[in-house]
Amino acid sequence: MQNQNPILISLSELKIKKIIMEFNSQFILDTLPALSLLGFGLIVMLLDAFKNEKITSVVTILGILISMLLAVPGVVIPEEIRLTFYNQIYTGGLAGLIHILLCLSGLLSVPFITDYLQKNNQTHLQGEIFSLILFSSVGMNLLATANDLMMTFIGLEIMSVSLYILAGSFKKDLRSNEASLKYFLLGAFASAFLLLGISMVYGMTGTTMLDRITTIDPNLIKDKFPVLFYPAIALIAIGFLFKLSAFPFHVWTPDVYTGAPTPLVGFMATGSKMASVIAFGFILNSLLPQSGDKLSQVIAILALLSMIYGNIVAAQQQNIKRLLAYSSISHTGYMLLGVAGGPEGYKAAIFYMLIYTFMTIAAFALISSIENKEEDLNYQNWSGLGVKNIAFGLIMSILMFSLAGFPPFAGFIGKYFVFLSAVKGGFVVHAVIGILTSVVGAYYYLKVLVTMFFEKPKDNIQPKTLKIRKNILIPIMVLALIIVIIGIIPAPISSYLDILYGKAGFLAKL
Amino acid sequence: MDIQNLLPLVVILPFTGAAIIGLLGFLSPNFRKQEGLIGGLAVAMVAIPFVIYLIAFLNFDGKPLIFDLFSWMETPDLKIRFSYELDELSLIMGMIVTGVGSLIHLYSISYMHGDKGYYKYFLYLNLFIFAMTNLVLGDNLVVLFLGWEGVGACSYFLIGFWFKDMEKAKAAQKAFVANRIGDFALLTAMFLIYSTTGTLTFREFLYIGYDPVTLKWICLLVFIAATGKSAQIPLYVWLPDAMAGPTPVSALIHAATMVTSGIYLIARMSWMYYNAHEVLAFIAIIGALTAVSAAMTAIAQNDIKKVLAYSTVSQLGFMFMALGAGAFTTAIFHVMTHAFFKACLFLGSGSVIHAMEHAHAAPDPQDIRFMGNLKKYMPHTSKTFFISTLAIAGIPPLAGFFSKDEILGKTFAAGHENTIYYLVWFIGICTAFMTAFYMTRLYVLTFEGKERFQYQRTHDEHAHHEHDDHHHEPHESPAIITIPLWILAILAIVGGFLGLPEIIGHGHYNWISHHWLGGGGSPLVKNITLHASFFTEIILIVLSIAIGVIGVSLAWKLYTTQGLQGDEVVKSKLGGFYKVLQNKFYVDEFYNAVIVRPFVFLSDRFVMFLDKEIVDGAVNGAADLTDITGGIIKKLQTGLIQNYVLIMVCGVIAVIAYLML
Amino acid sequence: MKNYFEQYLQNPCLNYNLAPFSKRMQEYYGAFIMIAIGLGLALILSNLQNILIRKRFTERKVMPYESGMDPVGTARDRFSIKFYLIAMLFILFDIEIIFMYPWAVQYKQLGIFGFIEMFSFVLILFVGYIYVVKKGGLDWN
Repeated sequence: MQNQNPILISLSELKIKKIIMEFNSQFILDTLPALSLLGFGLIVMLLDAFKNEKITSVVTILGILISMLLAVPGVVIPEEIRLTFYNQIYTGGLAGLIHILLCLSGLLSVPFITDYLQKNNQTHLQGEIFSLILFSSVGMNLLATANDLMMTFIGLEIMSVSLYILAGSFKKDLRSNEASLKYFLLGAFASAFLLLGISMVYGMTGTTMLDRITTIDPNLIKDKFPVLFYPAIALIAIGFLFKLSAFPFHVWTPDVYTGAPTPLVGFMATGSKMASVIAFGFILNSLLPQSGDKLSQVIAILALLSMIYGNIVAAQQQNIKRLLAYSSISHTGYMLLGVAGGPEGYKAAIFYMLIYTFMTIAAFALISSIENKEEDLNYQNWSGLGVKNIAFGLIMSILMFSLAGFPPFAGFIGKYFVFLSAVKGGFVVHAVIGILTSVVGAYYYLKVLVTMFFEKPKDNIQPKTLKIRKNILIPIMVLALIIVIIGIIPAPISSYLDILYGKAGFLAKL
Repeated sequence: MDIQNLLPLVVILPFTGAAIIGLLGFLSPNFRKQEGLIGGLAVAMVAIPFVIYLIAFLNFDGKPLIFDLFSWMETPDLKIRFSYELDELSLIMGMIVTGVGSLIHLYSISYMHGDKGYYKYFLYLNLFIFAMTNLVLGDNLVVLFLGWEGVGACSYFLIGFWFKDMEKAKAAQKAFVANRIGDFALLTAMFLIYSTTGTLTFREFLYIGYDPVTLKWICLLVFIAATGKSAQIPLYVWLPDAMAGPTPVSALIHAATMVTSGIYLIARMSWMYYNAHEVLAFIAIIGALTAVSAAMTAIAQNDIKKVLAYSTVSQLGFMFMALGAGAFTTAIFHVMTHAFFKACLFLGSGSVIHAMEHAHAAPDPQDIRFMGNLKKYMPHTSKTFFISTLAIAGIPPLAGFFSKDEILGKTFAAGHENTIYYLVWFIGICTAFMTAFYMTRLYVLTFEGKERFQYQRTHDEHAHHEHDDHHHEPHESPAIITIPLWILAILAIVGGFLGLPEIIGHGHYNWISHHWLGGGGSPLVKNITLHASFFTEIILIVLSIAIGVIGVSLAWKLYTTQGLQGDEVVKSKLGGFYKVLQNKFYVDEFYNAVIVRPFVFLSDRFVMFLDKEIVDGAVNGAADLTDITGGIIKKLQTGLIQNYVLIMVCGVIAVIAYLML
Repeated sequence: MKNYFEQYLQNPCLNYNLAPFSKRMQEYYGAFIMIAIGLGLALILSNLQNILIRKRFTERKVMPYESGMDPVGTARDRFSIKFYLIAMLFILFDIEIIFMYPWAVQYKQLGIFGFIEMFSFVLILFVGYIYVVKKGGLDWN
């Protein structure tokens, strides 16, 4: 009776049975990490609606922690990665670790955002901002662990739309609005490319499921669809390269990073990039014939251009936020070099991203702590600040040295792994030029420190509040400590990543 | 107790010292005032490792002692452990570092007395020893590189220690940039080694065959790294400026230890260099050129520390000449003797500077034109300075004679195979003469002759006691400063007997080259082909003694009789060239014009087009928000978004075009 | 799974260029007829009124239709933001209803599973609704 309408009835009896069978306790357990994030997002929204903004930050931290804890069992006892949610997303093992890492960038940002809002008398925005952070974390998780290209796209959009709003969350601030609108318009533009690429992949392979696509020999697809093959992957790549702000697609980055509220930039710059780099590497490695492929070359070239452009332009910036924005373009370059370098490099890129998360969030948080007016962001006004405020100077030095890639800080380890994998992937020249650009990078990071330590203080232009409040000083110090510890002993984390990576079956093919 | 169990302490102790001093000093202002405690702790953390080295040295049985602390990173095909190896080479380097290091720590207790950054100074100093230990003990290139960067960073901190002075901060930056260029070369060499052999551990990659081109590149890159750290042409410019740091730091880091790490690295990799003859010849030439040009510059300098700095550069050039001739053991021998007498000279200069500062006698306490006859006031300092001056001038039987003579002899012997070494040898002889000349000049102008400074003599003894800061005559430094000076001076006298020349018993009594570094298990190549005949050897020795004696006596006569006027005599002999020397061959100006300015110009231009025109417009607009109405903002935005989209579309087209074509 | 790609490549849609041109064109006949009819109808209907109707112009009639508002005036006229807000909220909630249709059709087969899924969906919507109400999104004043 009901099978008569072929359009409405797309699900056959068999499929429905399968769906219902899969719906058991294991299913709920697998999807719970993502779902709990969503649930807490809704709770925070309701709290906001009923005017309880004050406790939203606590609830958010609680929510993210619970969500992380739910993923912990599969990570601590390294387990195989597996599909769930009707083969839509991966869970367990490496996927759990990815979930935890992504949650981390949200979790770390919360205290800094709370403080920043208090300072700017914008506490009424807490509810909105925290719920959006939770929602975008959901998006990031879906994006990074998706098995279905459609899920990738949905995840990307959930993440991006939340971020567009977050960039403009200071409604009365025109620069914040500007950032939001620019981000949105350009983001929508880039998403179109991604979607077109996905549809082309669907046309070529008849499926959007990545686990199915990986079973097909890419050379076969390339032979059958010689014209469609590269544009399809290139378009997908472009969608991601935009999110990662790689060289010709970086145009939004400086404006958005400068305009958006400072601690939120830390969140935007880390979580979304990590999710994108993970998804990008996965998709790329499942579609490409071999690691030294033409497209890898393109990505390596773009990586190179990003490093060169980012570093050289950053050297001329005076606004510290803009400086970090350009330097983030160069850091994208380092990560992309890893992604281009094949599976080993992909791992290196994830590791780099992890370190970058710590450094960037801490850097933006530190900047926001002394930011009261526009001029405070110009680091030329920071002369002598490092001596006046030792805690600020010390942590800033750690961060800058780490960002510049000096041992024994974490940034060095990240760069080292990436360059090593690039050399192994055959990109020797790229690695050499990459190291050269990092020398330029060292120049401007050190310039900040030189201003802070070696120049005579000029009282009239210095930021007014030099004291960093205790409630954010401690988290920042913890972050700085983590950076130093990872720099000295990276083995525990990197070997852990290795174990989980080895357990991830779908990556074994790569 | 088994020595093996004690070994980790040589790495851990300096770090612990730095950590304790740093943490307590940062947290508690009271601790910062406990100068004795801080200094004592710091000295102990360097002296104990020295004792451990000594025990290990005495019990050494030819088998390298290996120990590792923990795994640093492990990937399937790259395992890097914090693992250390004590063999003949690293033992001798470690003993120099901690031995001279603990003397200088001791000296610093008095020298830095009352300084605001007292605890920071010892924190950096201990950290430096830690990094240097990593450098000379690490059994793989990664640990070595960490140490390499670490000593660079410590040197950067210590050069800029009195950073309130912009000049000094700039010197620190200069050192940093020059070192970064070298680091880049070292990193590239590491990548090259790793990609050819798949390992970075010395004992695994040193002794295997390479194809000649790769080998040449690796050797060349490592040498470039060494020119950065060990101040050779073209990267030597930072070292004279590095004298901005406290004087003990100049003695420890910029004379005795850190700057020799380039020589250490090449010696460590001697098995690879041995097969790259062209690179060796190149090293010898660079070393010779550096030696002679630095020595020439030193003749015309008036700053006591600048003279010593250029003399260090020159002596490092000698060591590179030895390396270039394939006489690796000789180079290490000279590293050792040089550490003794140069540390003594620097510490002596520190003592002088302190005295001059205290007396407020001269406008510039480091300028030798305002010194003279100081031996009257500072007997110990002047005596030790004199001994070390003779040592560096190559007067037998002091340490410098033996090592320098051996270098010259080996270089001459190498001329059998490649005539270029004769040229190197000739330059070496000239340099030795100049060394004797300018060092004697330095000594005479500082300690002999007439007093050229004025201090306010305190007529009232009573006032003298009450107002300590009253101008009074320069006086000898306390025992805590003179004791290290005397120890180093004695070492500068006897140190040379560890390497008696070839003519005595066919080198069998040359302990360092023959028995220790030239032994069976030694990591160094012992270049046995470098033998001159007995007769040649004798002539060479006589020649080098003659050169030294002539140089010393010439300068002595000239400057004791004429005082400062002696410089005028030199000036009239050299003519216009003297000005070039005074201005250090205009190298700084040259680098500024050729490298620094074009780079700044290029990056300015680049930004003009890419950033100012396209991107910055939006920011500037946004920055002046108060003046601009919403409508203009809107217009600005749409215009720019179009630009943005245009850039992105160009990117898309370029990417797809590259893939399709 | 291994032969998945081979199977997919058998899909006639992908192999259309193996068939002769005339055969391939057959698939498009329907589209061509559709285009022809559409164009024809549009032309006929838009011109029919000119033929059939007796024209009598009044001010109101000549005016372009703009939902009863005055079409002439400054283009920079400002509307209350509420107008857009309400419209957007309407579209938002309206479109979500579409998901109810397939569920309704498959209600019996999906059983309790479908119910839970739909319930959570509506719950999320409901939270959004509460948020809108509480934040005053629906207040006109």
